Amino acid sequence: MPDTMTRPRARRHGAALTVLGAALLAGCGGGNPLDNPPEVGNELVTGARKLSFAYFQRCVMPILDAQLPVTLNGVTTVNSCASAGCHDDSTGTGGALRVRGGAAEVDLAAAAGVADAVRETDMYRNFYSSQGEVVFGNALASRLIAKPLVLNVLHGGGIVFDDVEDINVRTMRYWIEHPMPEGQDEFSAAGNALFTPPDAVTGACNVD
Amino acid sequence: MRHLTRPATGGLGNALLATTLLALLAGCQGSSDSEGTVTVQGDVPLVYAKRVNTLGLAPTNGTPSAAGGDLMLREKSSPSAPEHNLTASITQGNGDASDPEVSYDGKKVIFSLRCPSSNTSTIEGQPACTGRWNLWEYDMTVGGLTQGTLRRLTASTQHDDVDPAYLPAGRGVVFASNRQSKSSQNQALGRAYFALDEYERERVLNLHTMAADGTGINQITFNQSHDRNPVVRANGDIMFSRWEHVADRNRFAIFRTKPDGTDLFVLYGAQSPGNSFLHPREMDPNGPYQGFLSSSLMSLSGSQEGGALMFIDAANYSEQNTPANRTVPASGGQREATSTPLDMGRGLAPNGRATSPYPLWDGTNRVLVSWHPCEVRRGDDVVSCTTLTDEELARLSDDERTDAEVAADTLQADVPASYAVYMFDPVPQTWLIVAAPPPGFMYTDPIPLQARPEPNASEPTNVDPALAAQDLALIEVRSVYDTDGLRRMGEPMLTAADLAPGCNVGIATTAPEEPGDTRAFVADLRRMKDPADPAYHCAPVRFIRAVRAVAPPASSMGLREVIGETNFEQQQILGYSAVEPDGSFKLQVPADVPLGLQVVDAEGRAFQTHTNWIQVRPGERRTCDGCHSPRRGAALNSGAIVNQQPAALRTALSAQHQQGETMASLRTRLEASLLTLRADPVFTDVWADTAQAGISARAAISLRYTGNPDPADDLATPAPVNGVVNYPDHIQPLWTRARGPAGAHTCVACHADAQALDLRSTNAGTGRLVSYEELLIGDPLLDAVTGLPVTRMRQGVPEIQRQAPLVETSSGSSRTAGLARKSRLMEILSGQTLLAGTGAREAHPNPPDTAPDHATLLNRAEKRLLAEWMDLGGQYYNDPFAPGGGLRTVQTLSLASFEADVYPILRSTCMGACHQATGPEAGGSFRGNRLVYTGDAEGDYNVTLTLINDTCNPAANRLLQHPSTVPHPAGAVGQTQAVLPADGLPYSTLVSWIARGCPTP
Repeated sequence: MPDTMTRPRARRHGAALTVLGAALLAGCGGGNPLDNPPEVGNELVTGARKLSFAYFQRCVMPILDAQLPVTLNGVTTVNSCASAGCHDDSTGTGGALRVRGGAAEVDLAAAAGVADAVRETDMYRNFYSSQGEVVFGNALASRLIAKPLVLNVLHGGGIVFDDVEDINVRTMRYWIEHPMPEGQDEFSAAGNALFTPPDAVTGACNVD
Repeated sequence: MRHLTRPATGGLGNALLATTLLALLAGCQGSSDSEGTVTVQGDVPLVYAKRVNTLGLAPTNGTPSAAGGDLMLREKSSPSAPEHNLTASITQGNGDASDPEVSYDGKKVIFSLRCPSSNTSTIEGQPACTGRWNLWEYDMTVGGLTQGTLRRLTASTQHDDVDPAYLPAGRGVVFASNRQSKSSQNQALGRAYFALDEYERERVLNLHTMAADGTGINQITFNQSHDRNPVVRANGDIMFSRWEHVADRNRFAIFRTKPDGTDLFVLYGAQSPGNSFLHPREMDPNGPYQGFLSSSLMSLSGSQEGGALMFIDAANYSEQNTPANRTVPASGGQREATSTPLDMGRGLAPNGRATSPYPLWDGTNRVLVSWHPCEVRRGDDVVSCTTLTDEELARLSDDERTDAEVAADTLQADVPASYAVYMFDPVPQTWLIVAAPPPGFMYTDPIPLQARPEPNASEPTNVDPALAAQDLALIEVRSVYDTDGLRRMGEPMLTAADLAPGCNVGIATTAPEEPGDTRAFVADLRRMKDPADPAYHCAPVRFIRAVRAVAPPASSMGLREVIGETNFEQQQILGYSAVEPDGSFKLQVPADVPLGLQVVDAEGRAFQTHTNWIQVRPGERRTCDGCHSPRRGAALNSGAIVNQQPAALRTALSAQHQQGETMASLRTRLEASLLTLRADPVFTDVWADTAQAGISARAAISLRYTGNPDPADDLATPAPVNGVVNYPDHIQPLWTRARGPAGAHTCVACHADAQALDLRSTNAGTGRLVSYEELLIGDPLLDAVTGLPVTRMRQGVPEIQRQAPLVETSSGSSRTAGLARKSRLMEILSGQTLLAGTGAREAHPNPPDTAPDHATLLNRAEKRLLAEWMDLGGQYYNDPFAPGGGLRTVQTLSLASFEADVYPILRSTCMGACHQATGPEAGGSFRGNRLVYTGDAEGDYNVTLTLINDTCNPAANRLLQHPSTVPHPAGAVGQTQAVLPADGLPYSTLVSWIARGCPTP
């Protein structure tokens, strides 16, 4: 697979993690509204979180577009998630994940303040559909990852990735595990922290 | 007789007694820690439903109610903690409450409440009661546990809303309702009406969603029988219990769907031991039960909606002993949570029954659950089953006793289940009583008032807007040959007659290429799609037939007469599409309707009966791996297999193949019109490149009703319109059509003998054509010595034993083959040995050599039509409103008069062992769908109406004809007096009631 497209750099960025960690903590509630005894631990997590559009565009979408080799029993074939027989939005029947292959990258700097316009783009449609296959807080239960790994689910496209250590899996997992702070949308500047240096335009995709 | 089980005297029994006493001693703190009892960590407040214990609860009963119910709150999970009636001011003792569910922050409770409109209670200045089940909310945000605020969320006076659960992120509520808000306006054949379930009893409950304020109600499931007990899984899916009831298939399995109704699929329980999985809930995802579900498991009726308490490893097993991967043992899936088995069947339950379990997520893995002990009535006393002798226990467990034997017994297992709420700890197997009901009541649906992590908030699925605008959706099956260990689309479904010349097998097989595949061998798609390989020419599947359910209409009479002698409800054929050599097909289908897909052979006969209903939402694009494929794992037709393009394929097609495309996907991308269902099964091989040496095409097939290349293959009798096959209109004319020289081979010329086979179009005493009943009902088996009909007892009812009929209508789990292929009539008329079985062949041997060749009497279109009629279920009419069907609209008969005058008679006369709901595990009964009573008045009223055709001639209706005739049931021996003597008061009461419906008395 072409490194430039599907191998985001894996440098850890401490500051970003700190910010995101704080954000995640802020999303947790806790306590007990009806004064139950303290040993009843029910941490609250609110739903309707958003993932980073910037990270999707730079780091995840290339995976969906990539020519991914799959080798079984010594036979290698190449498929793309966005291909006609799979998740292509126009002809594919691959369930809920719809992908418009080769979607033009959105210049987020130029689109600042016009989120509604971004939401009309093919790239955003890909983002929306991919985010719909995500379980917040449980990346491996997310269909976006569980399907190509065939983790106790059906996948019409068969096995795509060997295991959870595959760089593409790690990239998607990083995206899922680093949602935007609660109350902020998918274009939040917090998304910069998912890159090194923390810049959604110039930074490299964090993975671990 | 059922397996005899002694009530637990140690284990569960002692534990219950001991922990009950300890709990009582523990007082309101509810904590004790001695002698192995559980410490009540997090002694939580809870709510539950208080209901009268004589209420007719059963999986089949979606909206039962009885005056006296309320929603209760207990401040602590302790029997001595203060209890509060939250709804007394609304119900005023005349209402009922059920199905509470707590919000994720633990501050609100949503529930169902029903109270009569005659109540004086008000809510927000309006009358509070509508006479139907409405959704209500109790808000403790202000006022705390006991001083919260009641709010009514729905207020229909015509529909019932039950089983609510909160959607995450404030997105509203999912609930079950008989509103049928879309399907009631979109029934088959362009009609609008409310549908009854497939017992023709109750208006069907489907899942709906709405906003938190009760607006924006949207139907998201479209089953033909009830969808119940929805909850939201941690991943955001809705999980619920679905009544799968297509003919003999009759059980509740656990399903899941996205909140918008897309991606609906079975999760567990469609093929596992037990009948009805109700009340499924996820267990604590942070403990040892991660990925497990808790559920109750019971029979369809006779259990007061209680049974075994099950823990199900749904993460790793799609069914019992059906692992999702190779990393878990082959055995596993479900187990009883209690070390002492509870009874999941009907009748006596020596160790009691559990219902509505609620697993706690507080790290203790305990389960709040309603349970009641086994009790029987000895004379006028109610006693524990532990007092029964072995002989008494055996007697009461004998479900082959007749009604008369049961009635004469001094012991009666008819004590209502007074469910109490317990805290069950699965590790030490301890039970601690939490709340015991007062006499005459039961406590069910316990819900702890605990906050819990909010589930994932799923976004709606991306749909195709153009398809959605047309109310269409797209389905692709990647290969019908991708089938599971049951091999329901594998070689066992084929016969020698299906093998093309030179073929030893129909479906070539090979070892699976995917390492995680749990199967020993799979279809060899590489060979099957290669025209150069013999396997290409051996593959048996040629077409897919799409059908939709025609729902039983509510507010009608005489429906059973219209449907006929079959357990299937009515169906409509939507059309056909080709199945490509790799087993793939792709087509557009109507959205939001119950669909069935039947894989069809070259003669137009289905290999399988589709015994559940598929749904797709508008614009949804759905892929299935296969037909009855393993529910977990990689599709067979994927990766290198799907991308392989054999050299013997026409390059005009194969050169345009794109990654991942099945043959159907490729063809339909190049020719979009192929996505549209066709009226006729017609096939031309477009794949084989016959220009290459040694490459031949598969033979073309034309099974048009009319317009075939050879006019001799056309129908000469009326063809069905809109895919609706009615026996009198379309099948009977086949028997009377003049055939052969001077009509010598006309069917009725020979088959006019009532003792053998009478195919004439004369009227039988039932009002139907005699030929229909001749074909659908096998002759009684006669004892070789006495000459009398052979009978056997089945669940206390003497059943007359019959020969196999000429037309098979059984869809039992062991006989799921297509109905035409297992009907002897089709074997005779096709000259093939298919799947009718030896019994049918002995009952209906081949015609003598002196007879004309029956395999050539009917032409191809006629055989197609006959196969369609059989595969749909052999209905008399498939259009409930067909002019000749005799369906009537109910006008003057009423539920109120039924309950007052008729119901008591039916209860005492018909509702013992005979007319009960049973699943296939009970063996079923002959034409078991015809009259099923479950103890819910509204449903029992509706099903009674199905046996009334003529209100101006009450005695002529089956409701009176059958029970007033000796013998009834037909297998009864030595019966001298009718069940309902025509000179008795009960009979005349029913006559009077029916006559009230006559417009011109």
